[in-house]
Amino acid sequence: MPYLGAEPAPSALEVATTDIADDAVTLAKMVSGTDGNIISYDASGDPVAIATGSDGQVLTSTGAGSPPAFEAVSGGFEALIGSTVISNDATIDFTVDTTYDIYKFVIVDCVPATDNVEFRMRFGDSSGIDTGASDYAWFISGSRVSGATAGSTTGGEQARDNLDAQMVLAMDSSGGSNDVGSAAGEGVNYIIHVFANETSGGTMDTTYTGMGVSFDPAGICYPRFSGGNRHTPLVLTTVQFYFSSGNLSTGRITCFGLKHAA
Amino acid sequence: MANYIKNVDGVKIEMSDEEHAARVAEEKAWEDNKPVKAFRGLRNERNQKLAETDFYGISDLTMSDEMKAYRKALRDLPASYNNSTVVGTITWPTKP
Repeated sequence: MPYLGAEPAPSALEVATTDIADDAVTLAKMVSGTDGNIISYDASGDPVAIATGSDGQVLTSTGAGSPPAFEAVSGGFEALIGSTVISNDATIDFTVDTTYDIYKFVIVDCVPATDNVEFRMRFGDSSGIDTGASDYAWFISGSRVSGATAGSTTGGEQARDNLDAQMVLAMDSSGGSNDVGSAAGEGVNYIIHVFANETSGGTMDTTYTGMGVSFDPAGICYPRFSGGNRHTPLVLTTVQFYFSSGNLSTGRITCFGLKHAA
Repeated sequence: MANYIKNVDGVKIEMSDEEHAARVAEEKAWEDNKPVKAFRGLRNERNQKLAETDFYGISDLTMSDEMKAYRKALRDLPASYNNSTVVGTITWPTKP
C-alpha cells in the first residue's frame, strides 16, 4: 500500500543510535567487503577497511594519524635461514646471500656414517663450491677431556694447515687417527660463525670461527676451538659441510643470518 | 651405480658426474693417507708416554730394568707396525 502521509518517507528517516539495541547488528546486516580486510579508523575517525595484504605479512602499526597496515615481517638482527635434518647425505649445503653480515651454523648430533673421519667445511660462490687445493687456511685446538685415557695426553693439541682444499672443523688434532667416531654417543656438536665481510664492503678474507665438541671412535670427548679463512674474499653463496669419507648419517644443521642493523 | 646424494637447503639432489668423481677422489685420498696419520698418532702418543717416564733418567734416580725395558718397547713400537697393521688396534707395552 503506498505511503500517503505528509511526513517524510521512511527511507529518509534517520535511525538514532538509541533506536538500536545492544548486540542487535549482526554480521549479516553489515555491508559486504573484501576477503581478508580488517575494519579500522582513518585519521578523521571514520571507519576504513585495511587492505588484506599478502601471505606472511603481519598487521603493523603505522603510527598515530593513520590506520595500521599489513607489512612484511622485519628480519631483525637475526633470522632463520634454513634448517636441515641430516639423513645419509654426502654433503650438506646451505645457500646464503648478501643480506646478512654473519651466518651462524648450529650443528647438533652430527654423526658420520663412516667411523674415524674428519668433519670439514667449504665455501662457495656463484661459480660453485671452492675446492681449490690451497685456497683455505684453518686451525684447531683441543684436548681430550673424558674417557679411559683422559689426562694421559698433553693438555692441549693443535693442528693447522695454511694451504688446504678445505677447512677442518673436527679431527684428531694431535695428527693421529682418533678423528670423529660414528658409534652411538659419538659425532659432532658445533657452532660456527662465518663472516661474510664482502657484504658490508669489507676487504678481509671470508673467515670463520667455531666452538664445539666431538667424540672420537673411543668415545673420548674433544672440546674444540677453530678458525680460519679462504685466502681471498668470496661473494659467499654457499656453505658446505661434509666428512672426509662417507655420508653424514644423522643430525641437524640450522643456519641463522645475523646483521648489524635490522 | 647412482651418484652420491647431496643435500642443498634441505633438498636431496644427485651429484653430477663431475661432483661425484671429485668426491670419490677425495675419499680415496683420505683412505690412502690413513697409515700416515696412524703412524703420526702412534708416535705422538708414544712420545707422550716416554715423556711421562723421563724423570726416571735424571742423575739422582736409578731407572729399574723394567722401566728401561718399557721405554725401549715404546721406542721400538712404531717399527713393529706396517701400513696395514698401524690403522688397527695399537697394543701398548704395560707401564711398570
